[in-house]
Amino acid sequence: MVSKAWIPFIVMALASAAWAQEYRFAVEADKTTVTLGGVVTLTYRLEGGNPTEFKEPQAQGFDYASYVSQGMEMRQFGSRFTKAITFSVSIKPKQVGTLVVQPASVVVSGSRLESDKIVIQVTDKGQAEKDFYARIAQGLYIKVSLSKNTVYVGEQVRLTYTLYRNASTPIANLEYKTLPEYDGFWKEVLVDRQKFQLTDELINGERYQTGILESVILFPQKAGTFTLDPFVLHTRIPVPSRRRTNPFFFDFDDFFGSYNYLDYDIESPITKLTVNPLPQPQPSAFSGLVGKFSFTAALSAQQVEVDDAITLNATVTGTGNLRMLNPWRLQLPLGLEDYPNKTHDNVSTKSGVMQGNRRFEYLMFPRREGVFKLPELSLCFFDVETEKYITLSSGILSFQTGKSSEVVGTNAPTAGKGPVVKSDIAFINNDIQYIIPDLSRLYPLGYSPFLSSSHILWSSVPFIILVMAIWLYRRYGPGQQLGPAYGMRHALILAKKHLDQAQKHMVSGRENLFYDEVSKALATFLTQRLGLPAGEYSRDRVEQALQERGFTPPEAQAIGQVIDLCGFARFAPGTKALVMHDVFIQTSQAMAQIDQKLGA
Amino acid sequence: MRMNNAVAIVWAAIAVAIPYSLRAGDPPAHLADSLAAGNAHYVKDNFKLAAAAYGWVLAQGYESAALYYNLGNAYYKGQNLPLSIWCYEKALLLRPNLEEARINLDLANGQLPDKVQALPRMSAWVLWQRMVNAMSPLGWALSTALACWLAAMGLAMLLLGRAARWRRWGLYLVLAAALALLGAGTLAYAQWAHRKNPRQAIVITSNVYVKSAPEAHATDLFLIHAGLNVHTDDQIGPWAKIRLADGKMGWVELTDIKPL
Repeated sequence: MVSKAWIPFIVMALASAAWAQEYRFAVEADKTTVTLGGVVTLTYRLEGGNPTEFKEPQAQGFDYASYVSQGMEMRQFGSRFTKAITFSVSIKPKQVGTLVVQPASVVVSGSRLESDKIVIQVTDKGQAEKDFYARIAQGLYIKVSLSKNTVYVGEQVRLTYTLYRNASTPIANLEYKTLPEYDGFWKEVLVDRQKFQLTDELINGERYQTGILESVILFPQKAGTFTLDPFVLHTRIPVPSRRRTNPFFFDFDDFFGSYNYLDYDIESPITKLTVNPLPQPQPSAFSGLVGKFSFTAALSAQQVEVDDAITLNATVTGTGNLRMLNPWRLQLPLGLEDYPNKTHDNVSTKSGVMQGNRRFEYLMFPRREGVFKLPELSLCFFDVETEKYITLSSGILSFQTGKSSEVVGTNAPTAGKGPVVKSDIAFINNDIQYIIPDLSRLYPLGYSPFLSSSHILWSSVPFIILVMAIWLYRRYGPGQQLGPAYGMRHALILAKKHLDQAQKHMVSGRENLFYDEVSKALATFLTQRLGLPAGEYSRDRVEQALQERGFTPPEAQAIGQVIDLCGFARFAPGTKALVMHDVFIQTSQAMAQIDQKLGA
Repeated sequence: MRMNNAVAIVWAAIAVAIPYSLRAGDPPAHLADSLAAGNAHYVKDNFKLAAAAYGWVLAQGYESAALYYNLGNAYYKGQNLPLSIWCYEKALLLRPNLEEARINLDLANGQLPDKVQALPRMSAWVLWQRMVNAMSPLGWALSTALACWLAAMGLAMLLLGRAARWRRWGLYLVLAAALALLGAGTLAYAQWAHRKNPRQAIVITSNVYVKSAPEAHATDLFLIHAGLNVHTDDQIGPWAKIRLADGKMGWVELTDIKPL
């Protein structure tokens, strides 16, 4: 029973939860009919939740005239409040006809909601409206003036945007919409936007208000044909609202009654500027200056004391891009120290062109006596009037240092008396080293001795020789079965060595060593002389081989007995020394006999 | 004894043949004429004509450190500083120990308007550079080839020597030669690789605005002048990414620089 009492509450809770899930997403337009060029504001309203994403409709047939702005609305229905999130965006239709704005969508709690489509009728401007705009355009416009339409790279050109307003064209307010950026130019501002003000002027008998919006001097940085950025102002034109049926026939003099405001963009006309490249070839000394200049260079004194300062002033005066001039790097003679130069500008743009002078001040200190000759300074610029490169030169400047008592005596070497003061060998003038007259060795382009084909070849030749040497050694080297002549000689020498060893042991009476050596001597001798493979050394095999080589069976047997004798004599009875001597004699005789029979 | 004489003659022949085959031959006769003409023009102070004569030999597909050096001198005297710097750098690439080129390059660089404070280098890096450039490419080629011969000789002694003494000396020789080959080979390779792709260029346009990005509308970062040696890192279309010795970076058009 108790549990049943809770049922109504549970139902209510579920119901409220379900209600909470009820989102509404709708769209409204501030007008459904608009003339071409007009703007429609769409407002999307979401009730009942917080969206995590808003996706505006695809721009098909219209452009966006503003960014999406988000807002919040509270509405009261009786005692209930509803909260709604709104998204507003302005669109501008692109063509006459029926414009269908596709649905926008929002994501709420993970699910996507779509709004309805919205249909807007776009009508053409009527003749009256066209006339109206034409009338405004006549009385309210921006004029662009260029001091020159064709310039060289680096040549200055003045650009001015001026606003004209006929006194009979009312405007509510003015604001900047698009400002020129002057890409590809260096600019020097003549009249700043901040200082904009309107003055009265009489043009063709009509009263106008004019004001310079912006005036700059441009220095083109590269050649080509440039379309200058338009200057766009936005304004609102008041239209009397009492003739709502046709707002375009109105009397400007009627200041009574309420007004509607019409959005209007004042756009400067498209203006082109042709920038020609500087003629080629450019002199290597070309400073980058374009215009008309003169050049002077002067020293502050003709004679100074050693260690006293002297100043060189190099001044360039004229009309053009003076601020782009870089200081000269002085190649100073020995004994003259210089300090970082200073740049003084006296450049004015008041008359609408950049003109004035730029002065480089070089502070120098002579550290020795004598005459100092400064290198010639030259200025090469492009003269836009004659369209030629002109080089101006300072001429050679020189000055003299008189005697300075502190320096003489301490530094001057005196011959014969006292220690000679040594000083570093210093260059008196700078010049490059002379050419190398011997050019007899040339390589093909890109050739490098290292890793060239002949380098690789010569580096691998020794290893090829080495491999060949090893192969030859293996093939014909000592101890090889396949080299009979060399192998036998080597074996016989070895046998002789063993025999010599045996003789020594016989004399000193070391019996075991004696028999070992004598057996080895015989074995080495027989296997080599008879060409027996190493494993086949036995008495029978030796006797057989001897008979094959023309020994009679008794002779062969006699030699065979020597083999046995060497093996078993150490166990034979009798005086050890005598037995050893006997074995040695018999072995030697056997070997001699074989040598005799087979030939050396 | 006769055998030893034969070996000595073979060795002497090889010792002469290797350097001869590695060094270049005499230039063709028509090039020799224009080289002589270049020198003659230079002596008579006709520097433009001298540069033209040297340049013609280059255009025929021949080069040498001395040729680049002379061409650089002709440009220098003919008031073309950027190209003279390019030539001196090129000469030093071919023969890093050509002192005349080093002196003239320093002199030419001293006259550039841009003063770039080079970043300090680690002393290990400086030492490495000195070692790499201790020998000319020909010197490295000869020394690596010599090390190969010594290594082979040592191996022969080690493998074929009859006496233990010979084999022991053979082993020492192999080890020493292998070590020398490894060291000289590494340095020579480093020099060779740098020469094949130095990733350096000389600015040849008198005023160049260095951009922040490889496009014409990008912001101008700074201004450099002709003759400056820049490191080229990267290339996108007609734009090269450059780096100055002080670490400044930016983009310039390929037509403004001449790669080494």
